[in-house]
Amino acid sequence: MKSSQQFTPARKRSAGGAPWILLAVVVLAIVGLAGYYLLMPVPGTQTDDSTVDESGPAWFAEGAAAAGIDFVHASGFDGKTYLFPEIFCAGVGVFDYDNDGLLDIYLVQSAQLEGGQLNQPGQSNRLYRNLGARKFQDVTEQAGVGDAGYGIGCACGDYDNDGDVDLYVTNVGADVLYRNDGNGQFTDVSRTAGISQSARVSASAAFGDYDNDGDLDLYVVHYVDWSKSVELPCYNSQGTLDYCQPLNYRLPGKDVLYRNDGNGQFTDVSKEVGIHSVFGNGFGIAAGDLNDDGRLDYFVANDSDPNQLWLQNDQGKFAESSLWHGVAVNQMGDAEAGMGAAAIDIDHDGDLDLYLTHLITETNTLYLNAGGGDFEDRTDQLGFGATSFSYTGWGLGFGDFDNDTHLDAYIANGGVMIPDNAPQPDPYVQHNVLLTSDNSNKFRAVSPKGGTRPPLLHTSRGAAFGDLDNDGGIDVVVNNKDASPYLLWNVRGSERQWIRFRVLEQGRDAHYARVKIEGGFGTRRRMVDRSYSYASSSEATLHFGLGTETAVSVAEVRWLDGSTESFGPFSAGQTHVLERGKGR
Amino acid sequence: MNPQVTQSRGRSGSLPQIPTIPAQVVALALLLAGFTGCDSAPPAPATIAANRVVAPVLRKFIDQTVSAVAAAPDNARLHGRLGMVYEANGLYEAAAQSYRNAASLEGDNPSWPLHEAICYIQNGAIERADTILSRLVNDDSTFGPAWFWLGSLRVGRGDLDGAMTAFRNAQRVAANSPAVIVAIAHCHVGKRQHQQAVDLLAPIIEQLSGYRPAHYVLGLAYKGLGLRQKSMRHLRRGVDAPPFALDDAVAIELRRYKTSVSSVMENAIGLMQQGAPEQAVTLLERALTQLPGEVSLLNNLASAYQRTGNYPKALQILAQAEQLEPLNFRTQINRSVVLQRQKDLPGALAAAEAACSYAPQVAEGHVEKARVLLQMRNVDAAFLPLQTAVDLAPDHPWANQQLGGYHSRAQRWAEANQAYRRALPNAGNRQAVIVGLARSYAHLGDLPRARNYLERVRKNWPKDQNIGPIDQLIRSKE
Repeated sequence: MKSSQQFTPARKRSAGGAPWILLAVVVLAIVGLAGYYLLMPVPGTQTDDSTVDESGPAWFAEGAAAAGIDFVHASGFDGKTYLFPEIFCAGVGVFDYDNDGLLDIYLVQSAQLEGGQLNQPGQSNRLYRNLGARKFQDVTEQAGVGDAGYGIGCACGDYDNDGDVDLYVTNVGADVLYRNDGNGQFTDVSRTAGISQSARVSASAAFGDYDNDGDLDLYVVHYVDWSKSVELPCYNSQGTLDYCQPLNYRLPGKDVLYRNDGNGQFTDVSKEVGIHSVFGNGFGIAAGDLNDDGRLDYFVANDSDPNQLWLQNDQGKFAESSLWHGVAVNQMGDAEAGMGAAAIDIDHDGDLDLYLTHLITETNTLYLNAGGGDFEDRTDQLGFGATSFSYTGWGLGFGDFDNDTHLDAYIANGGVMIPDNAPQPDPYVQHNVLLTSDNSNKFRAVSPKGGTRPPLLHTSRGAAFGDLDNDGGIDVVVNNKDASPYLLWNVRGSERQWIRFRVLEQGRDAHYARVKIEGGFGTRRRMVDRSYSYASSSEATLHFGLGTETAVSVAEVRWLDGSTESFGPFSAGQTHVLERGKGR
Repeated sequence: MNPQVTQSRGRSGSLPQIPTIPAQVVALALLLAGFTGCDSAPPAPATIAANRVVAPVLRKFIDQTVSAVAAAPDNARLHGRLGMVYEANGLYEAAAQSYRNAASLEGDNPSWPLHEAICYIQNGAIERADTILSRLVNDDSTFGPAWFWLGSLRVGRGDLDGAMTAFRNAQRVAANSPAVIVAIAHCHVGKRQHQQAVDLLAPIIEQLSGYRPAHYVLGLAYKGLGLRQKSMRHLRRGVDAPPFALDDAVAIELRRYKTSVSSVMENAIGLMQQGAPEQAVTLLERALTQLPGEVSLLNNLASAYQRTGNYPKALQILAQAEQLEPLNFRTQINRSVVLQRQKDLPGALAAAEAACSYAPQVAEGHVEKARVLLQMRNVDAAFLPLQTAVDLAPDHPWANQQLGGYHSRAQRWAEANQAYRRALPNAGNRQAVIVGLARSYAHLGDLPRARNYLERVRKNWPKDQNIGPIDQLIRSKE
């Protein structure tokens, strides 16, 4: 949550004790602009330009309450004391915990930091079972996943290869691993699985088979080694108390890589594989084979520190390579306030690009993969600059929301500092943003803001994506700080053809495998990825919009080890299973 | 004016010494302003909502400044100052309104609409900002800061050709500005013209060694050329580069209005002026423990150390300031002053020239450059920066006084007289100015004025050795 776009200007909060907002504004006041050399705004308002046309058709219909989602997030802010974790919580997960073919929703609660990290009774994380017909039921207690820690996020994956999806919860303090027992219930195996941690702040996490041994390992991003004892008074530009920036604490976290030992236990191999060589204020994670060498790599979005790119070598070791590969800092050398992250093939050229959400006065940044994991900041050329510098972005997801074959993107926004002319009662609210692209591959903001009519205004954090009603449109769930979540039903997906693929190996979703299809629209690629966004977990099943085409002749899978396998032909309008070894 | 002190004492005034005006008067003024409603009525001061939560020190500062504007609502400068108070403290909507008010009263001052545009940018209203900036450069194609901001906006839109045009126009008036040079090089990199970027930056990179964006962009350019070793060297030096811009005078002045630091600076400057720089050091050191990244405090601390004679410490503090904000023009001015004290005149000149390139449209850097050149006995070389300073700040007392002397030596009495007259309002009873006026009026044959100024010399400085020759000159013309 660093203050201030691409070449960015704003900034720079100096390292160390100074009130970060204040310093950001100082510099902004001095330099100002933005975008580039300063581009952008500082603690600005939540409104972007007043000339924006709000007359377009809605893309989503908000329906959380009508669906029976009665969750209300609570950061625990008492109106007086600004405790750091209150400003960056919390995430959300969508996954089919009971294998009934319907995505369920797991909302992470935060609640209270006082007296340890314990919530009030009842204020725990909540699991909502999808009953179909756009109705949900709170099954938290039956399922046993009501962790009462101060929640930040979650990650999903079938770590024990038993065919059902397990759940990892990131907290302030000890994280929790829930094993799905396959009967609608989970068991807390944190201690026995060996992932129990001392007090830290975990943010995003990702399951992936880094050592290619057939089971899912776990990467956990740590933010700041925060505790109440290190809390500081920080002030915004108007001289009033506000939340600090991470650099104030000088306590960047070390991430952890847990190797799955295949027997239900994990071993912390961070030091052994080199992950512990670099510290950072990590928030988001984007995993995948980023340099196309057949091995899983990790990218960590750091808040105000240079990002980390962990490229894996043939010895199973990781080397931090972000500077040479062009993703440590933006095009002007500025370390931005990384929040959420995603690896996605935006330009359809076969390799994974990286997209990061950032603080207001910075742009969200697109690092385009020029091949071999060598990235270039192409934020402005693809239209991501001007559409983001008025917002602080968190959760994000790319997908074809209107099935026109072109990628769209949904960005969840919410402030971290009290802005000029702050709205009341929540001074941090911002509109979310929906971007769409066309043949030019250039993105532009959709009107109305965020794709809903009327536009919604809360302090959004985590966002998860998936087709919750199986109607061929990607839906979105957003966890809002100190508010009810959004459940955004896609109302554009039915306008055109679509196809979905569930990609399996070892009987579970093949994390980070990539699927390529071709049609009259050209080549399109997607990756099996639950862990993009911010502290959230999305559907693993892949979705492609097909426009007017009614079939796909071939779907080529590139497995994480680099081998390929082809499947097909397939009809549109269905979900197809692509299982390793059953193709050609 | 002492250039080492961050607060300027020039025509823009020092930290606001604004008289407190009863609230009733303010209310009346606001009421009248609201009632009149006709185009000719001066604008009411822009305000923030009464329930807006701001720190008491900021609220008091705002109230004082609003009171001053309400008492003289036709004073553009006061509206502008109010805008600066708001902008410096992140209150951009009220700042933009204040700058609009100032511009309505002083339409020929481009700084007001420039900062109105900057405030829009800060609040994300980019289109509005673009409209204003485009108008500004259309009205005056030599207004570098507006070109720079316009270039930045175009970069943000991915319009690298348009940005390049804007930055090149900025370069026409700020040829040596690192911000502009790096911005142009960055556009080359974006257009994959890596060799052009290298050609632009490599020859001057050592001069820009403290300026991290230059290294990062050069690193990208070398990378584009496949030169890994060179690339990594510069990328490493450029990581976490701070943002930059081409400053204008208002941008520099408004830094003083941040309430978080202004009261500390005011006290420290007062202590320095009272001859107690050690106490100023103590005060500033204490404040810096709370605001370690505050460059204004560091600059004043360096100034205080310089006044105690601890030049190495002053330079060390300035190096810290430069790390945090490499393009801070005041830091370079202060460095120049310290180096002058150490008799390192080449170093002092380099620092003054850096100040000029960082803020070419602010007079103080040019003044300092002239000051060093005069110490180096390079009088002719000092003429250009003096003239530039006077073009930028027509009533700058020291620059006009020096310019008067320069013309006097060349016996260009009309030019000398004009310079001394421009110096007079702010020079007070400065001996050299009064003597210069007496002599130049005598040469120009305006004997009553010559005699009048000569009398002032006699009265105030009876031992001045110019009295006799000027008296003789007057008599010869009578």
